[in-house]
Amino acid sequence: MSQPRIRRFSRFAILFHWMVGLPYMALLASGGLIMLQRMGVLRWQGAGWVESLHKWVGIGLVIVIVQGAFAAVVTGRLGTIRKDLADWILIRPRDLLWLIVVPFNILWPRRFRLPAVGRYNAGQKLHGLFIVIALIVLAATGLLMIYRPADLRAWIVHSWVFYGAAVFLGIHLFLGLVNRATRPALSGIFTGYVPREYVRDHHPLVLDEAVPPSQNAVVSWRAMAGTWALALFVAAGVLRWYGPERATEQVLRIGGQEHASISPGQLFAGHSDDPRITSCQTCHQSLEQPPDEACLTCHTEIRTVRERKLGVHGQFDGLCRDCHSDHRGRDADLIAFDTKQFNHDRTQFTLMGKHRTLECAQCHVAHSDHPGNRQFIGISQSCADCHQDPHLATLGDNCSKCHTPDGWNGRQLVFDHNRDASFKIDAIHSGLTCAACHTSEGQPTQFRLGAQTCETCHATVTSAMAGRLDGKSMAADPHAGRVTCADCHDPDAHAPTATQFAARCVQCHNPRYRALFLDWERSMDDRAAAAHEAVLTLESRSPAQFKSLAQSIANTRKAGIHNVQSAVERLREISDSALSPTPK
Amino acid sequence: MYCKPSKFAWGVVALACALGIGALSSCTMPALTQVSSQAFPAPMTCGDCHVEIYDEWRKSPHALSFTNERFRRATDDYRFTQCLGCHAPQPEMVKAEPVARVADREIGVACVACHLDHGALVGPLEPTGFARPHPIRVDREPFENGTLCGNCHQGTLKQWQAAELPDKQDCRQCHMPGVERKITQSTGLVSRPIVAAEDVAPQHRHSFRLVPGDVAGDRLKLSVSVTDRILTVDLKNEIPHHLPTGDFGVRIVKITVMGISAGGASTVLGQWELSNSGNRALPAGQSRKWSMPVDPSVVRATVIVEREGRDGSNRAELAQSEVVIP
Repeated sequence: MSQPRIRRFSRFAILFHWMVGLPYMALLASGGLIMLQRMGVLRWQGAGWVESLHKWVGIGLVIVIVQGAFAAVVTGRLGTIRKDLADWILIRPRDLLWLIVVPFNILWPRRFRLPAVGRYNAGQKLHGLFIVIALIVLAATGLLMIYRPADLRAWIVHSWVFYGAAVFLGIHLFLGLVNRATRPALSGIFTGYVPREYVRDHHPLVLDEAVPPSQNAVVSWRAMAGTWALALFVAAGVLRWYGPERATEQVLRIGGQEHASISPGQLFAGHSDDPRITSCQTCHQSLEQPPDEACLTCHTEIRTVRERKLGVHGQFDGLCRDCHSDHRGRDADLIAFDTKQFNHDRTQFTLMGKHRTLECAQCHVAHSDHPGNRQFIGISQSCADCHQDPHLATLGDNCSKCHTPDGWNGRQLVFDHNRDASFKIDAIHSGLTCAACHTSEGQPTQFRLGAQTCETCHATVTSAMAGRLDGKSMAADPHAGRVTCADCHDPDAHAPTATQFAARCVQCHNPRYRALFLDWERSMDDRAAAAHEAVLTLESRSPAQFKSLAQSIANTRKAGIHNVQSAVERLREISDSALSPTPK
Repeated sequence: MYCKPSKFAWGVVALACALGIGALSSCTMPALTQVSSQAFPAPMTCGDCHVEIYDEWRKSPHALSFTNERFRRATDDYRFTQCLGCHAPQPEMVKAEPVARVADREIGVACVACHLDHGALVGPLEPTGFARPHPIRVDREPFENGTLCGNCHQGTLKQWQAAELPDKQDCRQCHMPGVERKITQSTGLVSRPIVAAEDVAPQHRHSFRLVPGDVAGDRLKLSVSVTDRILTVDLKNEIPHHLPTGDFGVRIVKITVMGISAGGASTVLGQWELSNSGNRALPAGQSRKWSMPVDPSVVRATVIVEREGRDGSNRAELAQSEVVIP
């Protein structure tokens, strides 16, 4: 015999219940999985799939609710729905009494009778109110989590509402599926009809007739105890499988300092191991999204370049977290960027020449302070940091004076001896080879010759002026120590003639010195020729003496003009020596 | 038996003397006046009468202008003939560009280089005696305005001409000291009465001294001062030509600062040079200053101004000044 049934829900309400309820449960389930995954309780490949599902179902639920409201308006059911909604969630003073009495009713049902209620009791209203508020809050915080992912306030609220929703859903399912007194109402949410007896016991005010107060407890404590026992049994099994210590650790993490349940992932190792980061709020100051200030407190080098508008960081207006979001795992690369697309010109070091062909890691090596990371900021641009100095620091550190990024040698060399070296290659020296002066053996790249004076290479001339000719001490020339080489030698004259030198004489002396200089030249030549003629007489009778004196003539003639009087005397001595019966 | 000379005899003697004096005063000495670059009176010939002048000259740089060792070395044994116009000038150089003499170059700048002009022996003095053994012509100007000296000392003459100094002396006043004497001092039998008959006249010695130290000392104003241990030397040249001067060769004026410590030890603190070439001389009328810090151990400083030629030859002190370091 079928019991008489009473219609409890309209078809629209049933449809709306399931269209909201199923996604709601899916959201709670996926949300729970996500949190377990974030806490590290569960790990599986493709966790992102659950997160995507959660987001899309959540968005879908919002759409469903909005569409439902739209449909209600379109179908003219808005008034009915509003009335139904008011019945469902408006808690009246006598509902508070119901809530106060209900725990006692569970334990002592005959002593504590629940006040008679209409379509919804206070518990159902509380749940309804919670669901309405929760849906709004979850939708709002969910959207915030998508659009302001690093704002912890949304995450915290979302997670705590989740916990509340889980509790309410648990009670809801328990009452609809397990608890004997309320279980008969389950059919209502499928068919719209519930047994009249159930209505008489739980919602007597719906009936037109007077109904005596129910003698039964609204909740069977046995069912509740059994359910708890089953839950504890299952929990014990899970605990045994999972490991008590791990489980304790994970449980302690819930709501703990690390808020692992809302953490989207492990912090990058450099951050998680940094003793300066003591809590979420070290970065999420005021639980908001981490402001740049939080990053720049530690990353002072970035602060410097941003303040000075230098390099890549100085040119961007964005927030640190726009590029360097964390919580992507200990090994995540926070500074990952597309190295192929990166425009290095935005840095303070424009890649030119052969630098363009380098791999990033050839310059961006391990950070000295954080060996796990490559260094990008504060890399010295000094050539010597990457290139060995073949000149052994003899030429300073400004490589670009001579070299270009296109190459070290040959045509790439921009070295200009007259511009870059202290010794200018004038016309006199223009015919020399490099090796004529840069004679260092074994180190062909060491060009520094020290302080260069004329004497460095032309010591025979200066010593001749000072009175040292052909190894003999003679009278010094009056010019010694009183004139510089440049006083007589024009650096722009490639092959100066005697006439040009003579012209130099009269810059200090009277015009007759012009002719006098030519006399000196002639005198030198004549004396040298005479000496040579005399020395030739030794060629056969004393070859060694011949060779020695011939060399003496050459030595004397070479620098002789710089000390004419002594040179002439020396040449005469050589002649006399060669012509003496016993040459010395 | 002694015979009292007759009036006739006195008359013969008087006539003979008159004839002798007339002959002496009217005759000429071709050996002195008829000269060429190969044949001219040697200074020794002049010195027969002009004894003192010859003595002065033969010790002078003019007498040694050709034979001195420095000139021989500087010309590579006289190979540079262009120097000889002044170092061995031919006679009759007066008012003319000097030309090298062919003969007897070893006598250097001989008497006839300055005192022979168109067959007469020329000089600034009026004849002082009644006898004239050679033609004499008086021409004061080239001797007084330096142009005669300037035939060779051309640069120095220009300096002297350009010098604007009060009481400017001419060449002779410094390099040929004044003296009052007879122009000749011959003691020969014939010459003696002629010399005796000469007047004493103001003249100039022919020493041609290079560095008239006494004159230079007066004309070089050396002052030394020390302020805040900075020693400053101020040298003003009131000599009417550059310091040093000279167209050829090496002329150096050294300004040496000698520091004397409390213990009496003397060290050279610093030295500067003036030179006759390269605009490094101090022109007439101008002064130059040098400064240098003085070590605290120095209690006195002596500044010596001296000149020297090549290789330190002809060294002579020109001025000296001492200062106590406060």
